[in-house]
Amino acid sequence: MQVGGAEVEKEGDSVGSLSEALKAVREDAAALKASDDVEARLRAEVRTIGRTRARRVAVLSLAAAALLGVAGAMTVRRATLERGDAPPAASERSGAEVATAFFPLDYSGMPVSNAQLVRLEVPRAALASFGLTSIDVHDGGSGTAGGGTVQADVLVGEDGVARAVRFIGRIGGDGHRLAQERER
Amino acid sequence: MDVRDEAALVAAVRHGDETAFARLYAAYQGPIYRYALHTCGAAAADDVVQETFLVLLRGERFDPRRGTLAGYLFGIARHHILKRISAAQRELPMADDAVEALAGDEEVLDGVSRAEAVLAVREAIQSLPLVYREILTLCELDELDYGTAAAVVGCPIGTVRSRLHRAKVLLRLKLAEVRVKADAAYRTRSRSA
Repeated sequence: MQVGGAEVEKEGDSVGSLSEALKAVREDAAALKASDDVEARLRAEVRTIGRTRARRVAVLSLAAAALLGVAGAMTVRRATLERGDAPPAASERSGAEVATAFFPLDYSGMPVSNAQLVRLEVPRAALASFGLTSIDVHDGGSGTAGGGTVQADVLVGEDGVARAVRFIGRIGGDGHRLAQERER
Repeated sequence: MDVRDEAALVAAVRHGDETAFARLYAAYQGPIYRYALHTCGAAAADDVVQETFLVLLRGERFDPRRGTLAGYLFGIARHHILKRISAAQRELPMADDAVEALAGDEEVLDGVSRAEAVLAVREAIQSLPLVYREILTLCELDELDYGTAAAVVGCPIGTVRSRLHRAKVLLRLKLAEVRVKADAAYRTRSRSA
């Protein structure tokens, strides 16, 4: 068999037509792929997107809950004032609570005035998005904390935008662990 | 994978689903890598794959009503390939009559071993003008259908057919040149021996 005038040893089938040659190129290139580094970089990007999205969902949930909380608090206050009752003392409400430090939310940089602290219950999953470990909520027998929720204080400006959040535990329940989180 | 499955996978990927990403990447990274390899060279092929999938993750959303995912991804890849090819390298397509005059022997590689043919064809493809190189790569090496290739390149299906025909004619010519040069080199060596 002559190629360039030289006798060529057969390495598999020879290819006569162009279509056969193109098929051979196609088969030969079938195993070619991008380097593993490319896949690793892209997978890291996907994980970043996933984490960012989870955090954004948690923040939006908190903000929405805060808005509802503000509306609820205003309604209760109005009703209380109309009845002439004094608001309950803070010590009665909080008991032996331990709270984490405040975590800034997306709009924490916005100027705030007449901020209010709104107590509400948020999904326990929200803890993870702020880097806290999941904790067993002990509601101190008040029955206010459900199995899948944890209490949180949300700092809300008069514009209704949540600026920061802290999570609440109770001594004897998750309070010790929350205290540890606060020390970290 | 049908279009709806692909659209669902793309949506999941954009929400950070790594499993969905793995499926799409496994299906398309090879063809896109080979498209880039044959049109702009090995040095840029990795970058083209990465940039194409980054657009899938963060860029303009894939709309299944506007075409297939293959067309969408190859279109992005082509955009990045063209950015890497200078205007001087984008040679003009040949006139119809010139191409037809070159049409010749189908058995241009008769007697050539498989390995040599693969090497010769790869080199010949690299030397083709871009318009022919990319259409040959898309239709013959990546086996896209003409409709998808037309969407990627942004031309009618008829243009894809005619460019593919011309690409093959030119490829035969290039391969014939290679063979003539090899024969001449062999004769020179034989005389001197």
